[in-house]
Amino acid sequence: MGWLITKEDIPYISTGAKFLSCGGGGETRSVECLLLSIMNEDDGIVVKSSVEMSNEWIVPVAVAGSTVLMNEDIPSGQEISKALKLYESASGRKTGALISMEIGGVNALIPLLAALECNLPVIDGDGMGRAFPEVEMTSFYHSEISAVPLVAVSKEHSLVVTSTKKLIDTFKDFTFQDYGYCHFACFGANGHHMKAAMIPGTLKLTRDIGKVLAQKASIWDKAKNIRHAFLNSVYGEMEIVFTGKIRSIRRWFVNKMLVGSATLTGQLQYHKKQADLYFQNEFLAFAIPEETACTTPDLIILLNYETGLPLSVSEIREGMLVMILAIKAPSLFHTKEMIDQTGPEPFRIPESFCHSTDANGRGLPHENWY
Amino acid sequence: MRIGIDIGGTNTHAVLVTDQGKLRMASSSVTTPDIFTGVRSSVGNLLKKTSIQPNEIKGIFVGTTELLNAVYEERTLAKTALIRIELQPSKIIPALNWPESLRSFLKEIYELKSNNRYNQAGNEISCLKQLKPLYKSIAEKKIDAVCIVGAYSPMYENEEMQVKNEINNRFPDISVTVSHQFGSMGFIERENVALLNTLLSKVIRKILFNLASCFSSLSLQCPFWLTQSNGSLMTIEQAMKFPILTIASGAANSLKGASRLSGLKEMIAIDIGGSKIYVGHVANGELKEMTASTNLFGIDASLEMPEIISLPFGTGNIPLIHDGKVEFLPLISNDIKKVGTAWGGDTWTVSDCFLKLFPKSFFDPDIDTEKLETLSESECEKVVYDVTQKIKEAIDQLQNDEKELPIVLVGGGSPLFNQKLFGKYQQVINPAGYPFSSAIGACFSSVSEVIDKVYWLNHRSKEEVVKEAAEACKQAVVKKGADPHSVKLSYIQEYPFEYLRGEILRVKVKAVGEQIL
Repeated sequence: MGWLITKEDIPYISTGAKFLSCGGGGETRSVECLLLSIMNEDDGIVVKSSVEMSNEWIVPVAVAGSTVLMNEDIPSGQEISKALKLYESASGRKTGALISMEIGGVNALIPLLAALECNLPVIDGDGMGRAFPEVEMTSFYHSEISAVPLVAVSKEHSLVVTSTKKLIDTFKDFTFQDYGYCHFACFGANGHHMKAAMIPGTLKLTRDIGKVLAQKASIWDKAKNIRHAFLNSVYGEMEIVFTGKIRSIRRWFVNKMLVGSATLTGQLQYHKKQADLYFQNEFLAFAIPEETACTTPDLIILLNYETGLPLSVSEIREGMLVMILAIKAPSLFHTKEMIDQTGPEPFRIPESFCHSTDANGRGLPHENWY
Repeated sequence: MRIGIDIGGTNTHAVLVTDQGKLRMASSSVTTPDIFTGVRSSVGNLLKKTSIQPNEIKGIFVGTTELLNAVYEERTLAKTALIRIELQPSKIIPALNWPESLRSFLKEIYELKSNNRYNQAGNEISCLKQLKPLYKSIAEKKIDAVCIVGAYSPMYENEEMQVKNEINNRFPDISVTVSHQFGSMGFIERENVALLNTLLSKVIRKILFNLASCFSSLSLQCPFWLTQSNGSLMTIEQAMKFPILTIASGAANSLKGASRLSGLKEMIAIDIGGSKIYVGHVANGELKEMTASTNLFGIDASLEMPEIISLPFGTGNIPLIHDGKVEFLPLISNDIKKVGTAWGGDTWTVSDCFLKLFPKSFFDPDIDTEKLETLSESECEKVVYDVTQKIKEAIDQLQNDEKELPIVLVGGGSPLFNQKLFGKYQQVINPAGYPFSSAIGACFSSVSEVIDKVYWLNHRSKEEVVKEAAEACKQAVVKKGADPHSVKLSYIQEYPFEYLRGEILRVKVKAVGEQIL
C-alpha cells in the first residue's frame, strides 16, 4: 500500500540508504540537508507501491559523478527539477511518477527532491537494490528499457542525448568536464514495464533499516532487527559474517581509480580468524580464507562496532572495530546477464577472493551461507 | 621550570613542573567568571610556596573548558555575519541542525559568486558590492565577527582570502574566520566549524587578555600557550584565530596527564569528574585521533578530535532509580561539598553511593559518614554497579586485543573507585597527584601540524605525493617551534574520490614534535 514520506523520515531514509550502499553510493549529507531545508513539517511525499502502478510514465532520476565534489560545491536545489523538465520536452511525455535509479547512497534521496519540487509521487523501488558505479548496472538497462533520451544538468550547462551511440562516453565527458558531478534523468518507462524491471519495496526498506539504526540498542540487537527487515524483502537472508578489527588497509591506483584491500583480525566468536576485504567504490568481496567467500552482486556491509552505523569505503581506518554483514542480492541479479555486468568479473576482483566451488565462480558455498 | 594550568568549570588547578618532568608543587582555587582572579591565586600560591622566582619559569601551558562553557551558557558569543562563496546560491540553510539559541547569533548572510572549479582555481571575484550592507552593520556594531566559507577553498584559498582582505582593509580589528583553515572538503561541515569558531571569537579575546594581564601582574615574562583538543599547543596568535580548536582540551590533557603521573607508556586512562567521565587509550603520551566527523552540540563538524569516550555523568550527579534502571540528573550546585549527603547536605549524589560502600576511600575531614546511614544500601549498590559497568564497557571498547592494558584513574573523583570494582583487570592505579592530571597534561603538550590537501598525481606515483606531504608537514612543525630531532609523523591517511576517474587523492598527514622552551 502507498504511504507518505514526511520530514522526520528523511534522516532515516538517508541512514538506511547508506546501509544499502555497501560502502559506496555517495555521501548523502548535502542532499539530506537540502531536503530538510526545503521541507515543511506538514509536507508529505506520496509513495506508490508496485501494486498501485499502472500506465503512468515513470522517470528514474539521479546524480552521477563524485559526491565528494557535490558536498563541496553544494547543489542549489533546482538542478533536478530542471533536468526533469528538459527530459519531458525531449521525450514528449508528462511524468507520472519518479523512481530511484540506485537506492544505495545519495540517489535514494534525489527522487524525493524532484518529487517535492515538481509535486509528483515516487515509486517504492529502484534499479539496483544497492549501489553500483555504472549506469549500465541498473536492472532497467537489462529490461529493454531505452536509456535515451538521457538528460543531464550541471550548474550551468545541460546535455540532451537521443541516440544510444556513444551514450555513456558522452555522458561521462559531460559529467567530469566542469563540475565533476551532474543531475540526470533517463530510462523512462510506463508503469507496467517499470514494475517488471525494478527491485520492489526498497524505499520502504531503507526507511525501516534507518529506523532500526537510529535506535538506542546494541549492535547485536540492531543486526537482529535488520535481519528481520530483510525477511519480507526480495533479498536473501542477512547474515553476520565477521566481527573484528581492521588490521591494515592498502590503497593503489588501477586504471586511474583508487582501489584497495583490507585485512581484519577476528574478535569474539571470530577470535583467531583472519578475513580479507576488497573494495573499489563499494565493498566488493569478502573472504575468510578456506571458509567463507562473498562477492558482488551480493551485498557486503560494514558497521562500526561502537556506533552500529554503516561505514563507507572512505571512512574505514586501521584499528577500527567492525561487524561485517552479507546479504544475498535479489534473484534478478543472479541471472547470467546481470552477473556478467555486476559480478566479480567486470570488477576484476582478485582471484584469491573467489574460492567458491560454484561453477560461475561467484557467491558463497551454500553450507557456509546458511 | 614550567607551569601548567587547567581552568575547569569548578576549579582552577596549577602545577609547577621541573624540566625533568617532576611535579614540584600544586595549587588550586575556585574558577572565577573573570578567570583572572582564580588563575592569579593558583599561580601566585605556587610561586609563594616554593619561593621560585618568576624568571625561572620558561613557559606556561593553559588548558581550559571556558570556551565550552561559553557555548553552553551563550555568554559573550559574537554576533556573526556569514559570507558564502558558491557557484550558485544553495537552498541549504546555514546552521541547519543547530540549537536555536546558538543559531540566533548568526545575524546576516551574504552570497558571492565563486569562479572555482574542482580542477582549477578561479579568477578573482570581480564584484563585491553585495557586501556594502555588511560594512554598514560592522560600522554600527551590529556585527562582531565575520565568517567566510567558499566552495573549493581547501584546494584554492584565493577567493576566501580576497574577501577577508577586503574586509580587514576597512576594519583591521574585526575578527574574520576563513573556512579553508579548518581543512577538509565538505562545505557544510566546514561551514559549521567555521561558524562555531566565529561565534567564539569574542570570548577568546577576553580570555587571552585576562590571562596575559594576570601573568604580567605576577611578573611572569615567559611565553604562554593554550592547548588544543588534539593535545597540541597553540600560540596566542593561533588561539585568537582558532578558538574552536581548544574546545575539548581539558579532557585530553587529563588523560595525557594520567600517563605522566603513572609513568606508564600505554594504558587506558579514566578521568572521573563531577559531571563527566572520560575514557581514552593513551600510548606514548598521546591519545588516538578520531577520524569520523565529530558531533559538537548536536552539530556535524569536521574537527580534529582525540578518541575519547565521554560518559554523560560524574560523581556529582544525582542518581534516580526508575523501573530498576539507573538514570542521572545533573547537580544544580557546582559544589558537592555544600550539598552532598556525605558532607552533611541533603542531596543524594553518585559520590555518596560510593562512600556508603567504601567509606574510607576518600580522605576528607569534612566527610560525616553517619549521615550516609540514612541511604539505602541496596540502592547505593545498584548505582555503584551501574556506574562501574558503564565504565567497564568503555574500557572494553578501547582495550587492546593482544595484551591487557593497565587502568589509570585520575580526576577529583577517582579515589572513590575502589580497585575491587575493576576486579577483572590486573592493574588499576590511582596515582598520587590525580586531581592535577589536567594541569600536568597541559604541561607536556606537543607542537603539531595537520596538512589536509588534495593532490593531482600528474605522472607522479602515489608514494611520491604522500612523501612530499609528510615532509612539508614535518617542516611546518619545526617552523612552529619544535625541536627538529623530536618531530615524527603521527599518521598518514588517504581518502578516495569515489566515482571520479583520474589520479586525484586527498592526503591528510599529522606530525608532532616537542616545543623548545
